[in-house]
Amino acid sequence: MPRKKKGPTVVERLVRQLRELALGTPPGELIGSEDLLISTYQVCRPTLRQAAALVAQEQLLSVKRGLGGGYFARRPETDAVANVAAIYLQSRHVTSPEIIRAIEPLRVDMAVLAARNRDPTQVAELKAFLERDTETARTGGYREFLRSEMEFSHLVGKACQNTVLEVFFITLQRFSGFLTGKNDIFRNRPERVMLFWELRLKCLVSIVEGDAELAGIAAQRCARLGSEWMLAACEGDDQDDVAPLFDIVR
Amino acid sequence: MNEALPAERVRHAAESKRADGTARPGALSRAVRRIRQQALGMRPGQLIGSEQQMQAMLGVSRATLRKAAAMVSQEQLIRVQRGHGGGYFAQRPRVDAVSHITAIYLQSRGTNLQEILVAIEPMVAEMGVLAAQNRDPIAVQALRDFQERDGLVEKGYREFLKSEREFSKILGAACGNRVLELFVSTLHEFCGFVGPDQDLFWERLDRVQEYWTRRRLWVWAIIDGDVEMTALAGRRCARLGRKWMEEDRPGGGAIFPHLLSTEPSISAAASRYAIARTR
Repeated sequence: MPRKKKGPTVVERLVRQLRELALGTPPGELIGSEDLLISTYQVCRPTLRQAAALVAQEQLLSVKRGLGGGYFARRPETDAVANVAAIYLQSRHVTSPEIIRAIEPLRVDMAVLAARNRDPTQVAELKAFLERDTETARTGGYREFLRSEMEFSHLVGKACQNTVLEVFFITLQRFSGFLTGKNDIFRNRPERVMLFWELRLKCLVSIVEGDAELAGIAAQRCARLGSEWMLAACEGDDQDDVAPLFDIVR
Repeated sequence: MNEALPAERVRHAAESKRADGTARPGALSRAVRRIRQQALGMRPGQLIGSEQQMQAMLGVSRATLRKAAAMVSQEQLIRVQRGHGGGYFAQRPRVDAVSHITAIYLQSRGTNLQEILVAIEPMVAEMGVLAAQNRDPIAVQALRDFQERDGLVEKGYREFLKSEREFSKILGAACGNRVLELFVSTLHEFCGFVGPDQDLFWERLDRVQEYWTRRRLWVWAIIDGDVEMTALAGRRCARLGRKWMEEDRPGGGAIFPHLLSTEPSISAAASRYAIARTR
């Protein structure tokens, strides 16, 4: 599609300026009031608001109206990335099996990296979780499992010390409906919960012990198991079925 | 930017304020959602409607429409054309829509280049494995053709970048996983930002040649459909990059600093190095 090359519009330029301003301001702090920004950048109110809405969409600023209001700096959450990725994938009619397959390598490498991280606080945190989780796993239960799975992902995400893997993993985990959603592979399947949980505990033990190789193998098995169930659950679906993706796009 | 007409202002005020004077959050996000859905249901380039038509369809003021449209066009799902024959056109987002927001996210968290290389490794290796499992004759032939052509090329820096770009495309197609393809090309785009001082291959012909040799072994494994070999060879290729990064910049390298001073269309800086984005 040919597109005429033009210089940036007023809004585009302002977006860039606001973005830099926001990134240079500690989160939660005031960037400036609307009136101040209008006079600083010499723009009209609608222009400022339009630019601010765009930067707010990137979750770099939030707007507070009224007394003591103005534009405040913030830092984007993972869902900022997840939403845009969801839209991209949906526009290309990406299917659930592709999403599921993509999670596997992330899961494995996060576990491996977490096992290599020997930072004492991190290890202690994982160890405390392991002890609690071993107890919880004994009695089992669907809800407890979901909670434990979330906590596991969170802790390993932190311990692997790789923001990139973490953000992509969370993105995909949300899309896949791995935990909740129409393809919930664990609901009313206590035997699956037990099997998966046991395997994941093994992975956790290896991470705590710092055995990266074993952690990788255990994580791989968990991932495979999850993928198999997910793929079986998707089988009957329409191939073009990322529609559920859209539910998460705000 | 035009100021909204007085009549519209009233309407805008009416739809965005509740009786108690607080802003109603729904109108804008509803409009955003509906424009998105419209755009996704259409072919790229197809006209969704003129500004008036859109306004009528969504039942919102012009100011709200424009705000919503600006947000959806930031997602690259629509393109707004002003003037005669103008209107809202459906568009398909490019990879840079994703890499832009990912860059903002990572930059706000102080991610460094080494982290990016670490993250690329498992994804690229998996792409290789999926490609090796894909025994579709056309995909295999495409890889074979590439490998043959690639063998005859002079092994210089420029040729290397070109070859990497082409390989990336072919691997993306052969692996049949657009999620991994998206993530990897996003990360490759970031690598395209680095200046010569951080470029691992700039004026390092030894590295170019070592990497190239390794990659050729990897591609043969894919062509042979040897999954285990592919996994190993893919990892080894990726690790070379990490090793060199550690040599050049012990401690992880800089946070990519100039990512955001550029707009989504970063291709000028990226073209020197970056792996082509999928279209």
